[in-house]
Amino acid sequence: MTANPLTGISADVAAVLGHEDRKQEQAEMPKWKRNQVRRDAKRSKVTIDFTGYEQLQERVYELADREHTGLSSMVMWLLWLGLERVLREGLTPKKRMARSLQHSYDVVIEGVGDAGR
Amino acid sequence: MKKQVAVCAFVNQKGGVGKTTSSVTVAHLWAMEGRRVLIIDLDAQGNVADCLGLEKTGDLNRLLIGEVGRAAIRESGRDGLSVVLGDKTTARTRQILSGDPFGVYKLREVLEGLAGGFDAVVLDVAPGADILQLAALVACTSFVIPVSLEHLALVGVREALESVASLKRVDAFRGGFAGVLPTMLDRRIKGNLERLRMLAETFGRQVAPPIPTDATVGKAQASGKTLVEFDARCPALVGVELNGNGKRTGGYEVAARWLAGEVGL
Repeated sequence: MTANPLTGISADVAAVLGHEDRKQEQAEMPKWKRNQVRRDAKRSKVTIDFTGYEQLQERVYELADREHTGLSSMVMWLLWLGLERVLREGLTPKKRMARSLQHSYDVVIEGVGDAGR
Repeated sequence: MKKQVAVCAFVNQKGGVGKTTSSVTVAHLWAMEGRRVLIIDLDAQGNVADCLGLEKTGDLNRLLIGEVGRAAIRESGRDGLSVVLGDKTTARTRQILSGDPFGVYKLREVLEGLAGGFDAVVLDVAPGADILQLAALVACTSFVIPVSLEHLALVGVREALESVASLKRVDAFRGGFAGVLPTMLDRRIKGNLERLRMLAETFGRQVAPPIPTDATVGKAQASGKTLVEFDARCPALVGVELNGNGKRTGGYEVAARWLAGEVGL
């Protein structure tokens, strides 16, 4: 990938230049690769960072294994169940004050220790 | 301790780079965030009045030749935003100040008596390297250089910085360089992106979030409304979506917040 060599620039300037770099890079790819990148870009994906939540990760993996289902569909199902519950019960009992300036609250996940926030 | 008023000058020797649009839009956005803002039109074309749908007046001339004081300040009809307007009489002011050995200090002197009660003063400076531009640089606490990415406006950046350097040599400049504000960014034009990259390589973090090119700007000016009043969702204000993920990049809203931080508001 053509990395943006500029550092210390505003996020918006970096976003514009980075976007154009990626477009340029794609233009130079063979057609099959370019189509693959386009298909991937259309997919709606979320990457979950399990750092600090290893216990949770293990349980999700175990569950997917036990139910003979893919990890993505297992996570999607759990997300749906969690969403239903939050919409029904609200998040307030799960929140505690955060130190972050950006977010007033952290959501605490019970049963995964101190890291579960 | 008395809080220093942030006096921010929009300068570039080159015309048509978006100085007036930028100064009026940023001033209006700052005022909408609850600040008391005064915008002063230092251009004989008096385009600040046009952008705000007001009648041009010779208030700047009368203020700088000492005919009036605070009476030169008018309400713009927008909460928190006041104006000192100019018209062709500004050209006469330029002549008078040029003949005064201390003319370059006149605006600073006038602002010291006038700026109290405001959080920020925005100076819309005419193109060219004349006495009013130097007076604006002497009076400001920081300056920003709007740069059109459409053509050779980068030359204007160098010239503005040279003016500052010459004022520094005689100890007349007390301000800081807030940064460059790239305007009229058209991502379809390769040269635009090359110039943006060049600015980023030269000025690093002092390049403001870029303003995308947008036909709304001309329409808003023609109607005498600010961009916020004309179309609060236009790309020049809210930026453009790059990746189809809903996240917008650039635009005056983020640029005004960025600039507020740079000028200490």
